[in-house]
Amino acid sequence: MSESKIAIVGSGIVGVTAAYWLTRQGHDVVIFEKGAAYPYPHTPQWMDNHLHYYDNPAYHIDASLKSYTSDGIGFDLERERYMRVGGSATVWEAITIRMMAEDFWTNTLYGYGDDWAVDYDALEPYYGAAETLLGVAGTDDDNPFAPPRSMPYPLPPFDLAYDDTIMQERLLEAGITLHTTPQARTRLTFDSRPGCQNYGTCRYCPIGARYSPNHHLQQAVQTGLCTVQTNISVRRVIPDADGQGATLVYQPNDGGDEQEHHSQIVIVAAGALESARLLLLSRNERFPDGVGNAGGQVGQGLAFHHVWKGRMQYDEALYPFRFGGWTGQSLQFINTPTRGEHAAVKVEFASRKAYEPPMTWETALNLRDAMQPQLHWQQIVLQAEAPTSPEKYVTLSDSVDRFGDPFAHVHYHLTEFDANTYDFSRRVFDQFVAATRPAASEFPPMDFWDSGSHHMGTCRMGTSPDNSVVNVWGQVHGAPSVFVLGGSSFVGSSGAVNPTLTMVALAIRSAGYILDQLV
Amino acid sequence: MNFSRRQFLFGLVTALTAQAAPIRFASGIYWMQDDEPGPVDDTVIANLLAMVETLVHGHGSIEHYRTYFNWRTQNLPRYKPYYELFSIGLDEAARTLGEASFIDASDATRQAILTTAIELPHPQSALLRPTPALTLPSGEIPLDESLWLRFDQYIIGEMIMIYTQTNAWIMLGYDAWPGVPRGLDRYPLPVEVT
Repeated sequence: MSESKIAIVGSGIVGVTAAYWLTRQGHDVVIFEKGAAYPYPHTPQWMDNHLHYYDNPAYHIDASLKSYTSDGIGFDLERERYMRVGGSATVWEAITIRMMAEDFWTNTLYGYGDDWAVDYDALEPYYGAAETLLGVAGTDDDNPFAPPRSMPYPLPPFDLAYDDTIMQERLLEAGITLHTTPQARTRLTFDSRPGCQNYGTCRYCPIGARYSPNHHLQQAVQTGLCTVQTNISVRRVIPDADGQGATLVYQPNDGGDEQEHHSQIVIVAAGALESARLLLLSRNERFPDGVGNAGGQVGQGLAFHHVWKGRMQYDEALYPFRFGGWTGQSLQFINTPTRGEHAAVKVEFASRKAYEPPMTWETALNLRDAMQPQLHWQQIVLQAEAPTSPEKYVTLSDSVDRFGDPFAHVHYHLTEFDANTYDFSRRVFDQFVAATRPAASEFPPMDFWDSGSHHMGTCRMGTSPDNSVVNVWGQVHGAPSVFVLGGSSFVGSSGAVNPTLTMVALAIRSAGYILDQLV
Repeated sequence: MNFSRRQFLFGLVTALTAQAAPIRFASGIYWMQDDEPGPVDDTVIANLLAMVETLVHGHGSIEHYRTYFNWRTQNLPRYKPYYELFSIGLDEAARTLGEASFIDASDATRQAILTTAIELPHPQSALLRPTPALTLPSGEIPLDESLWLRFDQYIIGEMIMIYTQTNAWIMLGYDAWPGVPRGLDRYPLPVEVT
């Protein structure tokens, strides 16, 4: 059996944040990653995708290792999950927005969802630390809806793109504020990352301007205290009976015997689906329903954002996507007077539509005609908060992986409250249409949504095993040597804003608590 | 001036009977000599780039196509023989129309040869994952009209796809396409349409 002070399951942004914070204080960390190594900076990947137009199979993981079953969702979750070193944040959009103070108290304030066990004030200094870690470029000067902050953004903001400024002017006439987007892209050189050069191929940023966890993972490894084991499936976590440590049972993906690794602290940072799955799989005599599941809460509280994408066509050519990142957002529709009748909604303009090749063309002789319309389209994204419900949870599937372990099963059905939120989103969209005066507009039906790759809940934090899986530090109830960090510890969704900044802030906060436990 | 796909194939077959590589004829079927990845002659790349140049019409640099063609033939199977066949066909078509070679041909001649190629409907998703159904077993090459489906899969469709994601943006009025460093100074400003 191998050993380390700390073992981390999952090398995504949360696992790496914890590893980086803990190795800086001299603790040895072993990270277990199911996927393959992933070069950083992501220049080879950029070349594969944008010079060679090659979908490199080396970075994909076989379906016998990564899969799920579901009922109630119409989109493919596998297109939102990336098992590789660095995880999904190797390809993320890098939008980094703080939750609103009210998002932590939706039950008390508005009568829906559940209150968090931490609040904005407790998390605020860690938001600052997270923004510094990720190199967030932003400003609140143009955003009257931003929550209070005790420290400035580490980097200045990215200006609105020209097409956004046109929208901004028209929206302002209608009393709607479109502001810049805080994002983890280097507006200037920062922490040895070069300043953004606007390649526009941000999914595979060739220079590291768009934050990737691999940046800090490299630094953690360079300390000599952090090792990463790849192509490994962690199959069980077994807390010590005395609570002083835990053992991971793992197996190499390509064959080989089952092995064990013991550590004083285990951090499970495998995402909402896989973290819950691991705890449920880890049934034994002491944990007959899975680790941390004495109250039946593991897997419950699953929350996706509900993202509806509309689009608007304008007579004038707007030339979208001249900037690769995100520019215009509106937090105006989060804390509205009618919140409580529906959930919060965030609005963002997306320049992506023009980046897609023509969906149809007859021959290459008429390419100009086929592509010209893209100059006139704007995509608008309405990202809605998702309260939990008994109809939203993860359990174990009847379908098994190559080791015989059940995959996760996602049960997710929209509620009447979600339908009210859809109706509100539609009304917001109509306001944007009325203000910006497109020649045409389209908004999808309620069932045509996706999660925005935001998977939350399933190992929620709280004060008791009856209502949660972990405490406010991410420590599993009944298994003090095991922590679950990341979006899985959220109580419902992260309001209507993107969850990653909150995930990193909580990870930094929990790392500090873990350090105190290790003293 | 018109030049049909049938004329292109006729010229290609004629040229093939006069030279050996890249195919062989056995048991009534044409076969690839070798469908493994490998470099092609500079003249093959030059012909493919001349084809791109004809399509791109001055909408920016075409060096990324050279990178693409070289990488494809040196890393993926079957690109080498199809690139070589198509190159032979381009040269023979140019000679049929009174030119020394495709590279030396006038723009009008190149246009005439390529028009039927780019008139072919292009599958949207051919670029990253070539359709397995169009892959023949054992390196068999059909020297009939269906060969055009292979040219489309391995060459023309991919070239068009790259064009839509790069040089076509110049055609539409952008000053640069995503994938090159565009800087942060110009995107907040109006586009200077020329």
